[in-house]
Amino acid sequence: MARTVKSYVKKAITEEVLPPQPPAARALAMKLVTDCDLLRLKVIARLHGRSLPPDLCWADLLQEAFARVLDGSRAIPPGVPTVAFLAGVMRSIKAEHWRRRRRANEQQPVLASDYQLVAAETAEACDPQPDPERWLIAAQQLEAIGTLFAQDPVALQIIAGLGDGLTAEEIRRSLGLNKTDYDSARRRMRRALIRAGLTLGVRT
Amino acid sequence: MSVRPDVGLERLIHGLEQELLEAADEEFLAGAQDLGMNPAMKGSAAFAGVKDLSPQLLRALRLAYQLRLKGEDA
Repeated sequence: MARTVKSYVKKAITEEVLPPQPPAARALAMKLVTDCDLLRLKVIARLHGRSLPPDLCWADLLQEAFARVLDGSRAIPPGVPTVAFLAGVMRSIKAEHWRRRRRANEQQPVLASDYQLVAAETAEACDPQPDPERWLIAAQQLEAIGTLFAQDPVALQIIAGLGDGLTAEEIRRSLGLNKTDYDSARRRMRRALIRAGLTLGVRT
Repeated sequence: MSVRPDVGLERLIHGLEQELLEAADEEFLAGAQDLGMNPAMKGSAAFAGVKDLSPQLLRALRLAYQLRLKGEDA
């Protein structure tokens, strides 16, 4: 007996024969981005993934950014490169998630803790009260990034400078490096980041 | 680093993101090749999580489709 369309679709969904096309693949089909742009965005998404709340992973962040551009809720301004714009959208989605999480936590009863005392002493005046969970994730991820460059003392110093909010030129001058040595350290850093960003594993 | 970890991490990510935005396409292709991946190949592992959906999203979509089909059956 001929199989009905509905039973075919049901079987396809159950057996994962027809996975839906993700927004990033649709953007590629529409020539909004190239294959190489996708690799770049994957590495950037993975980098942002290091400071995401635990219920969200880098792939969700990347697909959500593409979805917002494709559904028109975020329009790419003229003259802005698509990849840079998508990176900005990922940043704003991440901030949105943390804000939502903070609002949810604010409804919980507040307990004074050692953490809050330490936080109050070290927080920058312009920043809001830090989230304990975010603080912990950040400390772990700073350590993980440090491990990534453990064999490269110059890269570690550059990372510390970037974390302190210094510009590339300020870091170069503070380390007393000439432009060639500094650029060569940056190339090594990019290579390590790209390798880490392209390795397998969707959740991490 | 002389700032709170969350502030330092966001600044660091921003700085490294700029590095990645400025990197040449060839650096990404070379990175993939270093890992034994061939981005020119259909279904290359380099695009895992990008051209396919994360298991979490796939599960959520499958559930939504199944609920819809059940609703149509009823």
